[in-house]
Formats: sequence, C-alpha cells, structure tokens
Amino acid sequence: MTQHPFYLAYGVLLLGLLGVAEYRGWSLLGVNEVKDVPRTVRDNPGAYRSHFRSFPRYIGGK
Amino acid sequence: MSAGPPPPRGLNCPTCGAAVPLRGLEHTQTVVCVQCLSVLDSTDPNLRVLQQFHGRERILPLIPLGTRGKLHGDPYDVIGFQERTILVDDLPYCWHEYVLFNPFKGFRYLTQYNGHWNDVKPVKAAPGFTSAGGKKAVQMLGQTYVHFQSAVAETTYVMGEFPWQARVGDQAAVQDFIAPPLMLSAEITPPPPAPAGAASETVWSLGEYIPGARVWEAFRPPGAPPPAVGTFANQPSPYQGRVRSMWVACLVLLLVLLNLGLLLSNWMSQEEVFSQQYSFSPLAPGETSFVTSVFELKGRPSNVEIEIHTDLSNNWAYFQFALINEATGQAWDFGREVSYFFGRSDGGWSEGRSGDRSIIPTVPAGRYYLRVEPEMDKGKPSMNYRLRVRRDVPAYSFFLIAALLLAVPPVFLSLRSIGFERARWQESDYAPSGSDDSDDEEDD
Repeated sequence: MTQHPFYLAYGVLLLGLLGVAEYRGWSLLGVNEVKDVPRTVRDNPGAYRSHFRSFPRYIGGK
Repeated sequence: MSAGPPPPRGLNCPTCGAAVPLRGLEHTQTVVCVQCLSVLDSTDPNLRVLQQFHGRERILPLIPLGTRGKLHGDPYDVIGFQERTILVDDLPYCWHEYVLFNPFKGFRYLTQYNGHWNDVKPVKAAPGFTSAGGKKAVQMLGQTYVHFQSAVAETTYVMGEFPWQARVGDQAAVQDFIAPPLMLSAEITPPPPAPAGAASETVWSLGEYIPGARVWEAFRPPGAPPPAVGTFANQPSPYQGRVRSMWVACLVLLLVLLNLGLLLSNWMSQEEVFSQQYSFSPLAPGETSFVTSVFELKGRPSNVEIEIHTDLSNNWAYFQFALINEATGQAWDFGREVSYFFGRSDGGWSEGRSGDRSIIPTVPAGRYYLRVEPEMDKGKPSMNYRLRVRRDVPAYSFFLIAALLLAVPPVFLSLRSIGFERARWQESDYAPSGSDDSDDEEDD
C-alpha cells in the first residue's frame, strides 16, 4: 500500500466522494427541475405538460 | 575517484613505433596499438604482429583506454575495447565491450548497446540446463535464466589489451539467458560446427544491468552517458513488483468499498413512503395522467427512489413522472421506459425487463405527490403495475463506478508492464514473426 501513495490518495478521494454522493443523495438520473408548478395540477393532472425531453421510444422486439 | 593509475610498463609498436602501454601485466595476451591498430602478441618478447586491420573508421570508446574508475568498491583500469557484431535478418547489430582490470581482482567487462550497460564478470562454474515456460533455460545458484537469444558474434574492432588472443574477425556462438537484471551468457569458440579435430570451449559470464549514470559515476568519462534507446534484454522492468502491489492495494480499497456499501445500506433509512397498484388500458378514453396521494419525505435532503413493477409481456410502456412538492410547487420531471420482449427463435431470447428503478437526486424534506402519465402502444392489451416510492436509498451505480475507477490505475500499470515485456521479447529469438524492431519504445 505504501508503495503507491498517489493511488492510495486517489482511492481515498474516490471513497470519500462516494460517501458524499450517497449522503447528499446524488443520482445519475437526468431530471428537469421545474419551479412553481400550479396547485391545480392536483385537480387537473392533464393540464400539466412535462418539461422533460425523453430519448426516442423503444418499440422493441427482435 | 581513486588515485591515478601507476605508469604502465612501456613497449613500442614494431609497426609504427608508438608507445604501447601494458596495464594488464602478464595477463595481457594481445595488445592493439591505438595508433596503427596493429594487433600484437604481448607474450612474444619481440611483440610479434598478429594482425593489422586498416580501412575502417576508427571507433572512439566512450570511456577512454587508461581511465581508472571504482566499481564495486575496487579500482579498475579500462585496458581494452572491442566492438562485436551479430547479424539478425541480415542486419548488423553492434555492441561495445570494455575490458577492465584490477591486478588483485582480475578482469571484468562493461558492455554497452544503445545506451544500455552491463557489468559483466566471468563465471567459473557451468550452469545446468533446464526449461522454463516452454523456453530453454539454465540454472545457477538457485536462479533460473530463460533463453533470450542465440547468435554468432564477430569481433569487428579491437583496441588496447586483452587477456586472450583477440583478433578482428574472431567468431563465437553466443547464447544469452536472462533473469532481469541479470544475464548469463555462454560464448562457444569456435562456433559450431567446429572444424574437425578442434575442441570447442564454452565460457560463461554473468552480466548485471546498470544504468549509464552509474558507469559515468564510476569512471567519470567525458560527456554524458548516451540515452538508453529501446528495451534491453535484461533491463529490469520499472513495473516489476509494482503491478502486484498495486493490485493488492486495489483489492484492499475494493474491500473498503464493499464495507462502505454495507454500512450505508444499514445506515440509510430506505423508508417506503408510498406504494400503490394501478392498471392502464391504452384504449381507455379520456385523460391518462393522474396524481397519487400525498406522501411525506423526511430527514435531510436526500434521494427518492421510484420503482415500477409491471406485468408487461412482449410490450412496452412509457411513464412520464413529476414528483411535485405540494407546498412550494417545485417539481422533478423525468420519463422512464419499461419494455420486455422475449421469443423462441435462435434458442430463446429476451430483451429488457418488466420493471424499472430510478433515483431522483437530492430532494428536500416535505409533502409530495407524483403526477404519472403512462403511455402504451394502442394495439396492445392493458397492463397492471405497481408504483413504489422509497426515501434515502443507496445508489449502487456509484459503487459500480467507484469500483471501475479504482481498477483503472492497476489495469493501466498492468498494460504498461505487459508492453514493456513485449518490447523486451521483441528483440529475442521468440519475437512474433514479422515483428519490427521496437527501438522506438523509449526507456522509462
């Protein structure tokens, strides 16, 4: 272990970053954060239009 | 640097009259006049001329003859120099040998090829032959030396004194066996097939790779040591021992990572805050989107996991989600596709999964609900699905990424080590056929 101080530091940094990511609840999911969604959405869900642009839909099968 | 060498015994060249110093005392059998390059028999009182060679360019030894240096704590004089050449695929490869002499320690040699130096001493015992890794090998004092190269070496230039009858044109079959940084070499004279009635002699020598800087430190010749080009047969790998120890360090860090994962799995709340079963028919009229009941997310800002379990079969569905804070109106918008297809052609196959798991990052505490908008192919049957929401869950993808990133340095070092060894063996008798000379590989 002592032969590779830089690798050790790199490993500790990675593990530390992982701990922070888990504590802060980071995620790789692509999401759009939207402010001030009207309260009427609860009564009329169809009135809300998503801001999220998804990838082309898979229509599947071999 | 020790005190200067004592004045050598002086003779004069019978050809040109130049002074010919004899530093090797009675051990010198051949001396070559540095002025006219006459090869003289120093055992003959009249200095009989054994050979004269002209018409070729003079070679200036990097360490001038007569230089005294200290090697292994003992003073040595550089008394002789020769160039030897082997032909590989009709291409000449030359290296230089320096004869070193200490009246109490005897002879040893320095060899130099492309800036790579070896400190060579004769070996009295003959090693035993064996094999290692499918290659010919020899064993001596518990060390196995693997065969590297066999060739016929020809002496192409001589200068100074030699403890043998040296002549330009002398030939010897050389076999090199390596255990870096050591090299055990056999010289068989005359090279096989020996002339009828001639007894062949095998002389073994043991070389140790030394950096040019150490030679310069020992003998302090003018200039700087030439840079080492390429990878030499017994050059110690700069990665030797480091690859293994780095993999051990990687294993330790992976174990720490595993323990961290277990620790976080126990520590994180993973509280289920919502779970509900639904069904969706693509042919049902009206608005497809709906909102769930309100659920509470507690604690520090952390992630929220949304799991979808469907009964899809050879079908797909798309879910548009919005996690909405009831009080602030802040929303996290995202879409997920679930598809699961399978068949029996080509021995059975399947693609995708009937469920999905997604993690929304860093959501503050509060009361939330989900807006869900499912979508399906209209020609397909309806689906049943369950939505499950959990708070503060471990994101295992980060563990996978961390494990891969931890493995990058040892993998890189291993590839460098493999590349170094490949460059080493490229110069051997075991190089892949048709491979090029790898001198472009710089010394590390």
